[in-house]
Amino acid sequence: MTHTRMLSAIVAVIMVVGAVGAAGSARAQTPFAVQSVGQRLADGDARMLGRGGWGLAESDTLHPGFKNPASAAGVRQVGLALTGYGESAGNESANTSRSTYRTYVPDARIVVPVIKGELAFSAGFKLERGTAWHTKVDSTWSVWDNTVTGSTQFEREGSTFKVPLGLAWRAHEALAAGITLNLERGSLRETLAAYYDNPVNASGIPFYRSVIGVAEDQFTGTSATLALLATPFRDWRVGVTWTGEHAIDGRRKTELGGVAERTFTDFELQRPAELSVGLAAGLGERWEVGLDLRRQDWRRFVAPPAWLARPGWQDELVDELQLGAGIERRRGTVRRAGWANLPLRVGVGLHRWPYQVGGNEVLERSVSVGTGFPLSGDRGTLDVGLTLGRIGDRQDNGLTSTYLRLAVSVTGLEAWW
Amino acid sequence: MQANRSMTGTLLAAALLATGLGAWLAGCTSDLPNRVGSGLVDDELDQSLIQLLADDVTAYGALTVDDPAVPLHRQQVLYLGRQQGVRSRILVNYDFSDVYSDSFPASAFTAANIKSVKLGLVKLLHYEGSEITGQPVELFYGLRQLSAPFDSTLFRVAAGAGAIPGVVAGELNVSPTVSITFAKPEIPLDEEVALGWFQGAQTLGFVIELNDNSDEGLVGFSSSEFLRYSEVDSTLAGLFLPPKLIVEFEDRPESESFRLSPVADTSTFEDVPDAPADLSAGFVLRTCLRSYPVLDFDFSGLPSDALINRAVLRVACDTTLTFGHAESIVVAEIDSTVLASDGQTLTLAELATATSIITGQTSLYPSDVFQLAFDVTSAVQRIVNGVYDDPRAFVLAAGEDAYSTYDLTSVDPDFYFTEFRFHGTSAVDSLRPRLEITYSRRDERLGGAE
Repeated sequence: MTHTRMLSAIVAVIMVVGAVGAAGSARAQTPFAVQSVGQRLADGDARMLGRGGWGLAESDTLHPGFKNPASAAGVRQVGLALTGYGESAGNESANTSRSTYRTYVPDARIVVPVIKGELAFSAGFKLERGTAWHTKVDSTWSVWDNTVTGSTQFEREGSTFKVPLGLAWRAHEALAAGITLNLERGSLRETLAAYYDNPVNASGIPFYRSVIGVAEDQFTGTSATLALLATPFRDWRVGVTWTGEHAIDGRRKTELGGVAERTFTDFELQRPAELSVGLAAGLGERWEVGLDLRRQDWRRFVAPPAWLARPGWQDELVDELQLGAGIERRRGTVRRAGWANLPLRVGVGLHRWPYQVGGNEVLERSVSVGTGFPLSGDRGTLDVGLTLGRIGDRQDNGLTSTYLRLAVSVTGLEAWW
Repeated sequence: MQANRSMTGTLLAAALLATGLGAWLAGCTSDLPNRVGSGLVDDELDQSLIQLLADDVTAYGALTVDDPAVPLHRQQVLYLGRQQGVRSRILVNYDFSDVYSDSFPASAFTAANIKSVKLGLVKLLHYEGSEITGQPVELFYGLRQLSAPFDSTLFRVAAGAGAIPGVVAGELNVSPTVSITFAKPEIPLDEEVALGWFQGAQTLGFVIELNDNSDEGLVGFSSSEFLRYSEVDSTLAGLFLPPKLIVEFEDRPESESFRLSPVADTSTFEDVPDAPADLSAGFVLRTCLRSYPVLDFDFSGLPSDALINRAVLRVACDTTLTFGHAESIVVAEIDSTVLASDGQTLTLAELATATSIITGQTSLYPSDVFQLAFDVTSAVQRIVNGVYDDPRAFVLAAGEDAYSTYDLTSVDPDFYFTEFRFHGTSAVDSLRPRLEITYSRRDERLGGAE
């Protein structure tokens, strides 16, 4: 078998794994995500996540990053990357707690050099925001001669994702540019249910019919992302991406279980522009530090007032800021150095969520570590990153989530031509 | 090449590991929901399980239902007696023009040879009188001749009792003051008069009746159309059981008596009270002469955003007036504009088309029924949610073939005469017809997110 055919098989496996994983679960898992526009999933591959999330200024063509589309301009081989992570979280609110476990496959990418080292085409799949949270409150009612027991439940689940199709061009040794056309899709369902479990009749059917209301949104739209990657000085790199304000078409199907009602409503969302700036600097032979800052002002977000299941939700939107910084000791190539050749990454993250919870802004703080393992022949890397984070504050937000996230990325390179 | 092979293996191993890890971790996602996160959104109905008593009936009527295939004179049961204002006699026509045969030649029908002449009836099991059954015990039968044979085609359910020919004075039975309590009563007749009927060789009409000394009760007997042998003594299975003229001869044993079947028979139902025109006086569900009440309740007390959790139709029987055989009662939906139509009469097929079953109850014994509750939630949900263009009402009907779930008995509702008489709107709160509706409310807003 030629190496090209072998790599084709690998591509197939990775894509299948990605598709299955993505279909299985691709949603955030904190209770914070039940409110407003939902939770943004972690950006970047495991290498980036291990060093605090920075990667906009990444220029390694043997280990391409996709956070900045311009990063791919210099690749000379076909690159494939798949990132997934598993997460366990402890979530606490007043007098109650809940542990959750989820897996995600948020990112699958391929880059193909068109002109080796100068022009590359990239494509992929990237989960952007997601939600999966379910609340249940047991209740008792007195009605007629009956004492009715049951629960009220609310569930939100769904995600939005992008299919970025991009071109990256290295105009100069010190400057690369990129652009992606993002096909944006997604769906999200909110279910509000009141279950009246008892009393029941002789057949075991509850006397009182449950009320189950479902609102399901389907999203479609396109956006464009412009990107730059510059090396103004030796060992200094700057990356910038900008996605303009864009419209997303929504279509809502509202159904009420047990009641003959189904309605469709079309609406439009105007999603605010997003600007990200990254900086990286070498600190010597193997060491490098980096910083990414992302901003998206959700106060400019436009949507129907009654779109979300919370009155006055638009007043709670804030300017979203995300900062990731870290340091990396790059991989060494010293013969017989053993573990000393392994890359090491450490980073911190600070994220102000796009909306308030409990009347106060939500801050997410995280620390992370990571490493990676080269594949034989330097034809790829297996990276891992471990992140410990805390979202919100019991005092300010009424609840808090603490999570431990293990991210794994597989990046492969192959020369197809 | 070796390097490629190693990379392939590593990548494949990593991918498979990721798949396994993903599948394993995904299997751990069944954490149970609880209160964590509740209250972050508008995650409860605005109001849950609100009570509404709907007891205003905006339209009421009684549907008369006719089965063209089974007119009154073709029903399997003949009714005799009086009960709660209902009174019925039995008409029979006998054709004496062609009664003789080799077995029973004309020479046998002489005053000297005729030992006795009787009119034999077969009472249905349900009507066997005793203190246990509550059915009348003392029955004083009478037989009189009609001035002319009756025209059976005039006797239809929807057309009323039809024309009953005049009666020739004088009772024909020899001992009208003697009560006959048997399940198969045989009414002794005057032999000489009966001989005259044979000699006249004509079709003659008769009326069988119960005189006023009889216990009150409507009693059913098998007609010439009778086929439901489960409803009579098992020893009669397969026999032809109409009212028969029985002639016993001196020269033959009783088992070789001559028996003449009628060429027509029918119940008269000459007195059947109309269903109350005003709901305050109550309403009636009647079988045999089918009359089914229709009630259209006022739902204006429900807000526009009501979600119906339960709706129960409650009706109460007036046990002092209710009588008859066990029946099913079905509650069905019907376009209430039918109440505005002339006559408010439907055929059985039209009833099946015009109504949609909601619920029902089986084996309701009139003597035991007091309070009835029917779960009509699904119908009220449809009505409140504007599924129909026309107003909808509830019709209370018996277990017709169209309502197969509740059509459990071997006989159709035209077989037994049963009346469920229900309290009307003038009754006390606990007895009047009413809908107990339980609903919840939702706000117009309902979720969705990016």
